[in-house]
Amino acid sequence: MYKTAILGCGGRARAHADAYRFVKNGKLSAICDMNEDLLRSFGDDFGISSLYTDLDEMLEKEKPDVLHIVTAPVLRGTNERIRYSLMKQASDHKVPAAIVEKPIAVESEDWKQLAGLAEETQTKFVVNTQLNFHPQNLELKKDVAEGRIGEIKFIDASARSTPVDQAPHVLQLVSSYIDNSRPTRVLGQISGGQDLNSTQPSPMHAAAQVIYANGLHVSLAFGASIGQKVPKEPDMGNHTHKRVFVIGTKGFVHWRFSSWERSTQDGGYESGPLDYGEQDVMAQGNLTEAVFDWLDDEKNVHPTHLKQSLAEFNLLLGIYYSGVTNEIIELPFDPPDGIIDILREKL
Amino acid sequence: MRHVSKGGIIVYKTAMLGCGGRARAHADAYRFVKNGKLSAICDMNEDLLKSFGKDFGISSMYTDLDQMLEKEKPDVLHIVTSPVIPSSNERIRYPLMKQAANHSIPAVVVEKPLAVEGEDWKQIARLVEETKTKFVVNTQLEFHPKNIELKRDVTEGLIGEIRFIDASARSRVSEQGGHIIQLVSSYINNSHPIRILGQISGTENEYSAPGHPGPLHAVGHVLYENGVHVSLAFGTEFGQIVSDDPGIYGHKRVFVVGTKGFVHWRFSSWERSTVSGGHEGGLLNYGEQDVIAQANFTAAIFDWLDDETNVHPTHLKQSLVESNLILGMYYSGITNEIIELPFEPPNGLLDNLREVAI
Repeated sequence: MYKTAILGCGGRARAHADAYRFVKNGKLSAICDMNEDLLRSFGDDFGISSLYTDLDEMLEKEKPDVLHIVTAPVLRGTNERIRYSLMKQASDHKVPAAIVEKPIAVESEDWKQLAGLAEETQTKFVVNTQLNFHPQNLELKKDVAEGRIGEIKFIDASARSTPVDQAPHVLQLVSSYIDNSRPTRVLGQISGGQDLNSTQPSPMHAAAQVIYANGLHVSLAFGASIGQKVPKEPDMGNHTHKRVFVIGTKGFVHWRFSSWERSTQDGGYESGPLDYGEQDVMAQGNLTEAVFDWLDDEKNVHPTHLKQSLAEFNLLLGIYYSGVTNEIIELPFDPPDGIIDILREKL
Repeated sequence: MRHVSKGGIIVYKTAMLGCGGRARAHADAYRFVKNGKLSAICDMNEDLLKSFGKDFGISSMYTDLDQMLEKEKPDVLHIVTSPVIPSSNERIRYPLMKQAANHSIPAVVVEKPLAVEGEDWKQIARLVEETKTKFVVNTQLEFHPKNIELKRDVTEGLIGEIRFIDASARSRVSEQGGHIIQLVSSYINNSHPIRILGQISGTENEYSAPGHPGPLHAVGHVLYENGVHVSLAFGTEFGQIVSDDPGIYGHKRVFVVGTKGFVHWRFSSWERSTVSGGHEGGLLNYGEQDVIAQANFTAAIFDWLDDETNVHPTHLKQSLVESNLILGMYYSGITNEIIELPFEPPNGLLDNLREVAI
């Protein structure tokens, strides 16, 4: 039984904690937040008595096997980037594994810090892109892996929220359907600067064509004006339209926030609704369990491990940079510092 | 003017402006055209003119367009020139079309691309509102026999409801964008694009055909009024490789995905995947397909002349919409804006492209 702890007791952390209902090999034992009200309330709700307002102290005393870092990448009320510093802190404490909320980075500076950390740390970092583990996605991926849609010919993926908000999910989903093949080239465009000063600084819209190492071409679209509207009434907001559409020679699978479709030669056209909440809590449990599997056996590398997630975020930065330079970006690339400032000037 | 042959069939009289390589394809297709006869040709280059006349058995030769139109009074004029005279950079599409309209030519076939920038697009958009001439743009891929078959599959519901279209070419959007975007239109009943976020990259290089100014690479995500999302890619770095052709022209394709399967037309092959028929595919001989397509295309003009309700699918207003999408892709690439279509393209777009694209 692995001992785990959570840093950050906001809304997303509750989803991480709630998923322990479905986790067999771990127990959430300690929590930490600078906000004592949040901390106590969270402790009461999940029956956790080991409460901390200082991360170093929690890591020192509790020595968790897994730390969940469930914070925004930018500290609210400031412009301070906190992803790297918190991950470095966990790494320095030699925490065996850490689950980090997405987005893993927001710009070049933090991406490069994390890329450096990935090379030197012993901590097994994974990014919390849990859609990979939604039961319906697992089923559709099994269909693909078993050849039910034949050879993959094209992938189209989109979301209607901002690129930095949902692209990590969507890009990871794309990766998950193609065995984590890496993007090698992008020509992309971005638009809209209204969110560049938020806690998740991002252009409002992005679209791109991407070529992957396996030769596959992928079309990406993000933002309310370009991302596909997934049919659902009532529309519960931009975040409810994420989707990935994987087309093969013999059919397709189409995962969407609240529904799915599959067309195969043996099964014909099938579809059904999805309850995102039900799917997501199980996915979070599966993601957490997969961290324990990795701790159990080095060979069970977690699919959303840090280096893979950094490759996916590098693609997002490549879309940004292509958008401001009118250049095709060969990936992975060394993103320039100050890219958010460049976006502010351009958008 | 048209006349009735002995068999009682109406035969339209046609003429050709421009006697270069593309014009030979137009002329050659008359082997398969029943209702028309190519009767006169015109080119400023007398050597080209004579050689063309000799090869196609045409004795009515002109070096002056006005003179040919005045004397021959063709029912259909083929304008088979590039949109820009490479040596002078002069835009000649609009003045030639206006000349034909002024002569009240009943119908005109114009080679693609229709326009290259905002200025000529706007001139032609004004012309279409005032002319009686039936202009069509020579985007003949729609009439390739295999495309006709695959489109029938789509119309008959073999692939179900269309979910997504991906289309690409490895040549530049200014050269092949007209073809590709028209093909997309042809699979969705000429539904119009309403929004694009696009990007462009690279200026002309040694691979650029003269007379077709435009960026080397372009991509776009387009939303159509029927709700279909379309992905577009042009240029050697992003257009998919779909044949053994080491060049850039043999890779045009359109991939139409529905709830029950897909059809995939490619320059020299095709695929179809349906629940009922499984995955099928085969090779295509582009040359053979294309000459029949050109003839089908030409015959469809005569059908339109026969009956006002038989509107040609590549008629000028539709082609202007498709050309507007290309200009929208350029403008989006320059401005980092989503472009709502149709839009009023600004003047100086190519100069702007030269400034931003490297």
